[in-house]
Amino acid sequence: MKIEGNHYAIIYNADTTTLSCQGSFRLYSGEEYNSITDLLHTVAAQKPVMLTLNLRHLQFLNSLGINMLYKLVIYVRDYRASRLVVQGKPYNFWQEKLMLNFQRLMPDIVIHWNGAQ
Amino acid sequence: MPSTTQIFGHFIEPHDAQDALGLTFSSLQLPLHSRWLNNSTSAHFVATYCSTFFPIHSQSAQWSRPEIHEIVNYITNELLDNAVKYGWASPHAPLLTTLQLGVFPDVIRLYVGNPIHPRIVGSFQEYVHRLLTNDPSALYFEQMERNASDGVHVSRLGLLSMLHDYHAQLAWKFGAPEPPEESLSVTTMVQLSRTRAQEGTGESMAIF
Repeated sequence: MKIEGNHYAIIYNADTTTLSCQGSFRLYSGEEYNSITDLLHTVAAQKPVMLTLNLRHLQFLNSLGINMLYKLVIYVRDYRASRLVVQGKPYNFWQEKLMLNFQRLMPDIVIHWNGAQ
Repeated sequence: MPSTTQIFGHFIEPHDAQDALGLTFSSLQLPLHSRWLNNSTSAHFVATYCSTFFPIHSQSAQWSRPEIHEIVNYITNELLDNAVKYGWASPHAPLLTTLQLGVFPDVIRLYVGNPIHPRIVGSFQEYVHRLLTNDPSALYFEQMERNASDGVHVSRLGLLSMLHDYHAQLAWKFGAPEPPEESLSVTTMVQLSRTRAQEGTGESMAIF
């Protein structure tokens, strides 16, 4: 599954159960946002044993983009079926903030920086 | 509707800064989405300008120019996006949005001003009051949960993320209604402080 937009891409690899968010998400409302939230819900609803969220190539999120990721975490949390692992980009100030908020939404989330545990 | 200026929060009028920048965007015909797309260019410029001139003190381990750039880029982008979403001009008149940046030794202040329709003033002021009188952390996480369940296309997280994630101080100035359509100008001020006391500990925390 894949969605490509203006300067961003979301790609789900079902074999590795990895969802990658790449580029800059300056989301505007409407159809673009609907497609993305549908994809996120579909991925969460598949209830993989482990779902990896790869943010290593994520450059920017506006508040609607941030909301997109919070939604994914909440969907996965509420299905109570998958372990969620997030791969972050090290030395990235705003991603550190994001991860803290993820941990508050879902305390058993696992955060990796640059693939290391 | 009140006929005079209304202030919410601790609004500090722009005054002489160590370094300052002012921009005015005037849009007569450009579609909403085009104006939206242009905001990232403006935000990047303001962030680059700010991070270049902000005085970095070497004794603090947390200050870096890339961090200032990230924060100012994000906040400026959100403020300009809000101005596009909620700004209103009467037919055949240009929509004017103003942006001001003030760089001081320990503080950065951003101001974005735009006219709004009189119809939304009441609800906007109620929202602002709620932001200023409640725990931003509780509001932020409540909004995330609400967004996950109700499926609307707006996040309502922009201002909350500034308060919670960047410990910003927010304030608003609403101008008097102007004829003939009684539109009001609203200016949003965002202040980022070099240090801010951590809740409950009394310790100061360097933000950047």
